[in-house]
Amino acid sequence: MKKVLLLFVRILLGAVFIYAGAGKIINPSAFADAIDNYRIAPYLLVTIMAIILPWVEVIVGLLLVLGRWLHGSSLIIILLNIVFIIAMSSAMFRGLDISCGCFSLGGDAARVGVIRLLEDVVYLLLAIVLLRSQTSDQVHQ
Amino acid sequence: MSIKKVATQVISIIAAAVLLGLTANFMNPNGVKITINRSAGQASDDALFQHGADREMNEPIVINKEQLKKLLAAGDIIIIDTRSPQEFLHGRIPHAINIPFEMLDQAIATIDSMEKTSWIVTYCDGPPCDKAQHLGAMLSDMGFTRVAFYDAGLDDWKITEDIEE
Repeated sequence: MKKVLLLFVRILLGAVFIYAGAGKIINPSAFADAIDNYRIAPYLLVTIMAIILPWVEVIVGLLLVLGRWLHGSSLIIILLNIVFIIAMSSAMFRGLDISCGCFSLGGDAARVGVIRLLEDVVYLLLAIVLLRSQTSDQVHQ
Repeated sequence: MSIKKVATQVISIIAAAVLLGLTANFMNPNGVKITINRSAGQASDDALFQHGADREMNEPIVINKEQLKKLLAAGDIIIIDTRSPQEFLHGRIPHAINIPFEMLDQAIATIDSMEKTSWIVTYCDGPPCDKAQHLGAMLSDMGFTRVAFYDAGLDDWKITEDIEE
């Protein structure tokens, strides 16, 4: 039962990150605008993140779905979600009403808010569960 | 698993992302230009959609294609094609009106009929064309408070978007 649950978590998290990254790969300039709206990073870093981050998301998503390199991909998802949570909390604290840049980047893009923040917390917890399960599996072996 | 192996996985994933990201961005018409600053006068989305609604601007701001699309989706926008009537008829950004920069005298009535607080976006072919920039500056001088200039112009628009003929 535990293995089935972990498989479900792995595939779910992988699919979420593939979906999130794919939309941004198609339109990196829109993603750069979304990052820039947070006003927390210099524009050079914004452009570099806009180019690389979506591919990181897609690669770790694929690795999770395929069940390969689970330690590395889970760890990256944990780090990414910590960054996302800090960025979003900071935007909310400063009262910025901006699109979160999470999935869709068009006019219908979701705004920064509590629901998006909670979503990231859930993804963070799921990634921690995955990483811990890998570590404990190895201890048992 | 050792920390060294996990670190190797993390570094490999990031290296692959850097390689794929740079390659894809280079080949993508919507790619990002790696630069220290936005192009001069380039507006952030905040300037357009958050503070812009209440802010009066003394000079035109520069917008990119994505921002123009967002303004179009939001409505209440006048797009001015500053090229010649012949060029305009051949192809234009959807919903654009034609005010050739060389024929401004004949368009005074049209300009006067525009709301001073409407968003007005001017464009021409893109660099090195500067008619749209000049018209944008003139409109700002005439008291229009939300003037934007799509500097990449029709050449950039038609790479990925439909034009009206």
